[in-house]
Amino acid sequence: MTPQGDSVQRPLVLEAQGISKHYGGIVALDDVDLTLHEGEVLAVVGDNGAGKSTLIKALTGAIPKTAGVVKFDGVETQIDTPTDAKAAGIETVYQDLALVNEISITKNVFLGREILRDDWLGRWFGVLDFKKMDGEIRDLFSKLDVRIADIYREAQAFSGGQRQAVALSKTVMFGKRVAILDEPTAALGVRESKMAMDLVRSLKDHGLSVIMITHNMQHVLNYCDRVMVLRLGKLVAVCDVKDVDGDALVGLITGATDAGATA
Amino acid sequence: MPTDVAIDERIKEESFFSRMMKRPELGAIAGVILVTVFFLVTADPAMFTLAGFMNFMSPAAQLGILAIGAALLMVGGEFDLSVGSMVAFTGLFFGACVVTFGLPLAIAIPATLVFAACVGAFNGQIVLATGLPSFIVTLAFLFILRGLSLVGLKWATDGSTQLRGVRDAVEGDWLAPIFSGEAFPALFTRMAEAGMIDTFRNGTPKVQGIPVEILWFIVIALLATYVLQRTPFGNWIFASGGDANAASNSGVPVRRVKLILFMVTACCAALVAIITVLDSGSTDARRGFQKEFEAIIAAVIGGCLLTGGYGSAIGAFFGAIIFGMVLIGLTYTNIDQDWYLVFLGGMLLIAVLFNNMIRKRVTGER
Ligand SMILES: Nc1ncnc2c1ncn2[C@@H]1O[C@H](COP(=O)(O)OP(=O)(O)O)[C@@H](O)[C@H]1O
Ligand SMILES: [Mg+2]
Repeated sequence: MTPQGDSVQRPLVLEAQGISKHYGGIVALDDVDLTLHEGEVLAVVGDNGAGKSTLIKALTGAIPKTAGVVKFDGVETQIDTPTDAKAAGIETVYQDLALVNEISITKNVFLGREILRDDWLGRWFGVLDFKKMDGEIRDLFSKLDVRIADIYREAQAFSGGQRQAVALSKTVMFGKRVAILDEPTAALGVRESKMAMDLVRSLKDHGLSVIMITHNMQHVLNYCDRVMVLRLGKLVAVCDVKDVDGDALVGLITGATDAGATA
Repeated sequence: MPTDVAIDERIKEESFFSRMMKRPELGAIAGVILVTVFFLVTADPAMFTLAGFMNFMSPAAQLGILAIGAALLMVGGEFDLSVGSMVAFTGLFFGACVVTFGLPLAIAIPATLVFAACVGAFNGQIVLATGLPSFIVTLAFLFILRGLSLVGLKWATDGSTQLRGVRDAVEGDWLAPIFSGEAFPALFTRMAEAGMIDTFRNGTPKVQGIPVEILWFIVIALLATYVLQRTPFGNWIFASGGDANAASNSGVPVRRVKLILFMVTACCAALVAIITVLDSGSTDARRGFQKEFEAIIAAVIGGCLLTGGYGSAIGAFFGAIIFGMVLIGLTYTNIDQDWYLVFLGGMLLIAVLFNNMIRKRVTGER
């Protein structure tokens, strides 16, 4: 089960060992290892309830992990809150929980990282610089070809695809090293999915390493470098995408194929 | 299959007018206009003289300070049903500081605010640590704090539920004019001399100044609006109330935000307690009775949603003014005072229906 190919030669950005998460008696995640190389897109696949979301939440400090260590650039790093993850350069788009419905697109994109005015009002009274934030978002949206005209409008006024585009743009704007995406195309139409996946590709172009959870095997095969398969909280396979096909992956996900067969 | 053009068109830039139509405070401003018109028609014109204005603004201000605290907390997604009892409880603490321990206001007032913040933090900590709805936890504190106020006062006064002697105790204290009485008396005397405002026969002005609570009310409304609309902390309040999970995933310290809001709400109650204790010269365990409901109603009239993430301090400001106008306005009419309660309930119902309608607009008629 040793992964092969180009990505192995590149240095490791993120390395997680023995990640476990128990919810009371439920073992949502059992001793899972993960490696992410510089500039690669790693897919995480698995059936519903396999523990994919739990894995990335534990990695990014959104939930406390029961066991395991995370190394960033080879150094063991304490990531206990989403803020710690951001400080390390990891941006995450959580499943369904990326945007606050009630506040505007501008406020959402800069939430937790607001820009203050560059004058006495900002320095002494902490006054926000809406002009600058709006400007940066417009620049970003036009660069990424995200078509959202009214950035003052509350997030809930937008379609699922547009919301996802905003969430992904946020990772482009702030992600320094790693972007983690939980089902970025779930509930999106065909055209919207393509838009989202183009954004994933631009994350890679911007020099980020990407971890992406998905149920779409076509996206795994077309956009990802490596894939790891979870089943019932356990890691069952990690392989280079060029060594597998859709059927093999589905077999691994459902348990029809056992892991040794594709190694 | 929608084309690109169709998708862009769907969310086009809103007009200024439609943006204004969605402001949370719109309902409250409309309400103030409605109530003003109502009393212009039915009430004695004395209501709309300077003296009449101060008459209804004074109770409006006392309620409004509580309502603005309640509004901030509601935008942050929580409730505090204990603010009324908190007024009595912190009033007791303040009264004891001043009368029983003879402390100067420069110590008693900060001590009371710190004490209130601690009680608020305790309240909030229980809500946040247990994950129970703040409705239930603070309902418990509504009774606990009221009971403690009664017991505490009896203990401090050997059996009475009132502690008197505040006025003597603070006589001549340099901080007293900031928290009691009327501000700018010299200006009002000057204006009376110049014949700009009404005077009594002996030449003293009918209105001797602006009651300080009105100034506090305005200052707090402006401060709260600035925080909500112009600062990162304001964004965090909306986000914490709108979707605590998404906010915390975005790096907002949701628990800290909510805890601070509980403390601010308690401090608003303490400020009202300090002002009323100084004004009346005594502290009373029954003070602030049912004020929590009135404060929440004013916040709701002001556009706050019970679900959090939406609302405004200016709305609560006008919501409280509506209260004051109705409460005092009825005394200027021939209408039976007890219609007040009917009026309140009616206003609340209309406000909620109205906000609901506006809300549907905001979410795109979904
Ligand atoms: N907060 C929670 N409490 C209890 N069990 C949970 C919780 N979150 C997830 N689980 C359980 O952990 C397992 C993995 O969930 P999850 O990681 O969300 O799966 P998925 O791979 O579909 O993203 C599931 O069995 C789920 O029921
Ligand atoms: Mg999931």
